[in-house]
Amino acid sequence: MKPAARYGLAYTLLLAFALSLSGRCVLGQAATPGRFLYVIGCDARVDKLDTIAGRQVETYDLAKQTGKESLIPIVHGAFDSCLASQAVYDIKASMFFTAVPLSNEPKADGTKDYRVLTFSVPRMKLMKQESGGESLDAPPHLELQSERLKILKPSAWMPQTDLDLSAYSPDKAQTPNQILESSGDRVLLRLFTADDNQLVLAVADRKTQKLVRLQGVPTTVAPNVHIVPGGGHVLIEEIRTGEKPEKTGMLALFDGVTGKPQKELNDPHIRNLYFLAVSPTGRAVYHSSNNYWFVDLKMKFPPAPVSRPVSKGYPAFFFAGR
Amino acid sequence: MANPAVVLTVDPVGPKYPISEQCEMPKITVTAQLQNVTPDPKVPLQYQWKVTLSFNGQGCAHATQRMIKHVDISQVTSTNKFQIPFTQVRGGGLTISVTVAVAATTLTASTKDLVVTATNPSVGSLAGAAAPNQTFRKLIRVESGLRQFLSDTCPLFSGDGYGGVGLCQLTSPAPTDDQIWSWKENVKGGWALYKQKEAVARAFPKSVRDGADFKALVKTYNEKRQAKLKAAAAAAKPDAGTAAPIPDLAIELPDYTDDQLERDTLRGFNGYAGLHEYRVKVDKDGVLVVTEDPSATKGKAEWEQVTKEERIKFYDQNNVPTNKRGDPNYVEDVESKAGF
Repeated sequence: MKPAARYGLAYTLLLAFALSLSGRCVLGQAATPGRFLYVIGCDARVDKLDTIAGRQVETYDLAKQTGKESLIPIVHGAFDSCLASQAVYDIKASMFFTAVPLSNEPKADGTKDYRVLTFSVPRMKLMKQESGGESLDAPPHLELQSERLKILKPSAWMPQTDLDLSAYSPDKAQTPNQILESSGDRVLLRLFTADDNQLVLAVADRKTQKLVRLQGVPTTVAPNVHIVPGGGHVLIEEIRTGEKPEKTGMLALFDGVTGKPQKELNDPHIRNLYFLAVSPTGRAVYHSSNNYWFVDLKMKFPPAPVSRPVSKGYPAFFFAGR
Repeated sequence: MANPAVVLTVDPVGPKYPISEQCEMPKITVTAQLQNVTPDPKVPLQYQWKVTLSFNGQGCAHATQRMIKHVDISQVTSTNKFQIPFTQVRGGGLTISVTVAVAATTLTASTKDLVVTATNPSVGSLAGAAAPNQTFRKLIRVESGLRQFLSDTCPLFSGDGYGGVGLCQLTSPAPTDDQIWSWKENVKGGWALYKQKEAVARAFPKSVRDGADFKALVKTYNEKRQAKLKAAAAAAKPDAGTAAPIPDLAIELPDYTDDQLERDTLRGFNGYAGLHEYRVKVDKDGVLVVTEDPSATKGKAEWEQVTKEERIKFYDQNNVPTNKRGDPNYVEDVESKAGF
């Protein structure tokens, strides 16, 4: 007797359930949060990276995703400015927003008009276009507030650059500081002291109002210190100081709750690459143009975005589950 | 008996007719001679002339697929001589045709293989026409080696295939037909573009001052300064209790100097690709570098020129494709050239 006949309906249902599960996996529906990193380059091309497989899996040219309408300038020769700036991901709607100039050439007064385009993820289908502002010195600032996109003039936006630490234990002192990065409830700070040359790093927890100083920090500079998604750890790139600071290839991971060093890794590849992000899947992603490199930190982090008050030096990017 | 015909003779004989160094079109006179036919003296003859002049870039290095034409010339004369009334400066293949009706016969003739050719300006002519600005003139030397044309039949197109052309290698906005065949128009267009880039460069310091990034840098600098001053005050008077609040320093970011403006204009001419020639100077930790006034109420931030290495680093960090970066060493290249 054939099994299906022996077990009848129960077997068929079980088989159908199993097939539906495997089908979901094949289609990538059972998504790992933050598995894919989307990097939006200056030329409005999007590189999709699989942080688990450690490779680039797709490239999209946003200029070709706008249908018959040419919404992103076609540029012959050098760019005046980037063709796409910022990438704000709306995880619920599975869409991202980016600002694009209407033309490569600025107006006579140096300003440009902008539009904001919305694309679906992962298909990169144009969903919406709207004005991003006229005669602006710089691209508009995009922010998701209460699940709605806010488009702010660059002059109307100012990032928070420091934290009032007077209520933070143990010191409860208003120590002057600088926000380097933040994620979730945690904020990575540089604390200023009497000594100009001393780099004092700390993690402030907005929820518990606790401040933890990192201990035994390797030689580094502030731009090479990064909070991981969720803010539970801090990744520090060791820098060889001298006339021109250089990376040694050593990475140190610090516990953001205790401030103590947790592990060290060494990867000579990263010496000549630029830090991009730490993925929720636990990979530190490096790049130079669109050559990407992944360092496995052998940890997983919550899929919370990391924000930087000043994002210069980084292409726009976001993490998504598919 | 031989068939009736009309035969064209062209003066000068050609086949090449150079546009003059001063961008004047050649003077070409065509004569139509009737052969083997005697027209009725009572019926005035009408010569219908047609002149076409076009250039499609064929055979020219890096030319784009672009047809450039002089407006077609059609004219009727009662005499058999015709001087071509060119109204535009254009080069390329020239065809002159005539149609004349004699009795019941219509006779036609056309020229073959005639070409209107180009002439590069001498340095003297160029010096007479270009704006009296040595930086702009050096720029022309870098862009084209002071050449509008690669040969007498080909404009000098840019090697990148984007259709940049002539003395100033005008690329974006796309050069007009006049700017392709008239070196004077090319220089005029180049100077207009230079002045436009100068206006953009002049406006840049203000846009930085008003931007969020600079305001954030100022805020952080003042935080750092507070820490230092508070510590110094505490060390000086350990029992003083809570120190008085230290007012923030007002930090000025100056406009460009003339030299800085000139260099940033050059950078803009080549394409900023997201990074001007100067940026606000910060230390290794990304904190603003400020020269404080002795009054301790204000300070001055400064501009730093972006080196070639830092520029390439910025492009690599921001995924700017190689063919969209321009020349990272452009400003130095221009400044090292001789003027004229």
